[in-house]
Amino acid sequence: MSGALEVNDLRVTFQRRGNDPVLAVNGVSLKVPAGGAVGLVGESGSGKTTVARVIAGIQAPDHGEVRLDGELLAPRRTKAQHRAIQLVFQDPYSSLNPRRTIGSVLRELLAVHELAQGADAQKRCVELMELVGLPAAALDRKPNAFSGGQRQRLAIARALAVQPSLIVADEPVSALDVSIQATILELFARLRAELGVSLLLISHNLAVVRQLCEEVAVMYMGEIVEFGERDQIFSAPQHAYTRTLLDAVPRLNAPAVPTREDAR
Amino acid sequence: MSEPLLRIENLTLSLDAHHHGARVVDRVSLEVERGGSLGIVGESGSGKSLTLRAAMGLLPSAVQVDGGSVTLNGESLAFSGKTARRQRRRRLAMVFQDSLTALDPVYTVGTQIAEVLHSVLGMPRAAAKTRAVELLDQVGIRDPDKRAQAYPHELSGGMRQRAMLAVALATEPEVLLCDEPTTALDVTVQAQVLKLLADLQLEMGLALVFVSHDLAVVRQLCKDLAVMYAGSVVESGATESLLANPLHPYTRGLLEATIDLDLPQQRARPIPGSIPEPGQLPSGCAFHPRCGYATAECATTDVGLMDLQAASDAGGPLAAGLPLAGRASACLHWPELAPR
Repeated sequence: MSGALEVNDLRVTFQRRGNDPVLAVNGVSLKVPAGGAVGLVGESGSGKTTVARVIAGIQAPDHGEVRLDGELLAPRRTKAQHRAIQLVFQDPYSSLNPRRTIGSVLRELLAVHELAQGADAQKRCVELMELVGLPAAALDRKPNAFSGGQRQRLAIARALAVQPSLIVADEPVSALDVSIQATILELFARLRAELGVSLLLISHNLAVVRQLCEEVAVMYMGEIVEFGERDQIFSAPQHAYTRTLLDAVPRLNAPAVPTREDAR
Repeated sequence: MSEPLLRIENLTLSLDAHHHGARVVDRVSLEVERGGSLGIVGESGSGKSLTLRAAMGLLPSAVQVDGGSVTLNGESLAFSGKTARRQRRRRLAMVFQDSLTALDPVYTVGTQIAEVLHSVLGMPRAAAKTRAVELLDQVGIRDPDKRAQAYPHELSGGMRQRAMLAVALATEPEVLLCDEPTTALDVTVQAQVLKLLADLQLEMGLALVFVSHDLAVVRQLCKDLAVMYAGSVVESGATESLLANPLHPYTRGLLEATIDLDLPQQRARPIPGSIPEPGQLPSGCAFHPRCGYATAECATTDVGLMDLQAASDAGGPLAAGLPLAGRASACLHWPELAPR
């Protein structure tokens, strides 16, 4: 099994015109075991998406390294290195090209990476649709013919087309209805079991991460403030920020929001 | 029981002829009393936002009203045009999911609030400016003086949502309509905004109508709940009672599909199938193709929303020990869902 990710001491700063530079990621180290699933949680602005972008090779870090199965990945990646790590984005409305059919997007990917041509490519496309639970007829349609949940399935199919060993999913369910979120998480769980692909799941919602990941890293202001096994994080959070995040998750059984009146 | 402040009765909406004339909201009746709070929950495409927009007189031009009424304090409200705006002015306000498009990008938030105060309440401009800062303070924005000078894009998502709330509350409305105001926010910021809404509701005696796809969010804020599916209300009642004992399979499905921290190791279970497209509703009960309780009768009969207390009193099926006052369900098989 492959797909073991190792991230060591990443640092990323962003220059701002007329302002001091922002230290977005500061000394982040992280490991995803081969075939494993790790959750990265934190608020907007905590730097979790920047970490994802560095891992995927979209963003060059100021310092630090990314290794996949021991191989050092430079910021300029080879085609094979790009193939190995695939991203799934939050917004399936803007991450799919609205003017192209799903089939043409997938066939192009297969051709560019020299994976399949002609009839083989068509066969592989149908397989991919099956894998994510969509009918083969979906290949002839454009993204606007699909609902949010279906689009996210298409985005996952696109990531899987090139047979990556690691998928980095950046908030893959937070733009979806609560009722659809469970179906997408279920799909990730099944793909891990069937394909052995590793997963780095990024979310601001701890409840989402808890469904899927064995280990959880909590990020706050560019740093990882807590890392541990799932059960340990959820039953005995060590860092105050982890507790804040846990308390903020809306629960079906929680009491109503306390108002100022109650406090009096 | 007091007269409801806002009442929606038999609201029926459909798309215009260019869009196949499909029915999108079907005989929806809802009400909220002064100081009350009503949550409307459903998936995308259930008609919950259109219902809210009809109440606000902000229906998109492609949607037409086929029937029904909206009354505020007994006065019937027009759905569009000048009359609609005059009737709602000062009394109804709305906040939206996407604060970046709801606020004007070329004016500072302070100017936008002051403009509402000046044009609607006739407040002198200087006084309006001062009041705008007070309002920003009231919605929990730190440094309100400085923030009043900021343009919407200079604020974070949570802060913009608060600024939009300040615009909505500027005229001290009686009813605040909220269309998924926390969906685009992080859980931590969402918790803060929900708390703010709960505080403001209490302090200002606002009636709140809160639309969301997330039962766990609505539960924290609303005393009453209506669950919508494919354009109709399928279950309604007091939130606590409804969530403790859902009496429509769709509500139960939504609860089981919710990814919840309190479910020990148990995975959320999605509802099979997907919501039907407008104009392609199944016969009978619209939920029957996705329902585990469905029988042959469900495919032919739509019983509509039934008052369960009345159904029970009239010698219908009983739900042992379950208080049914104020509960309504559109499911033929509701007694099978009651606890035994």
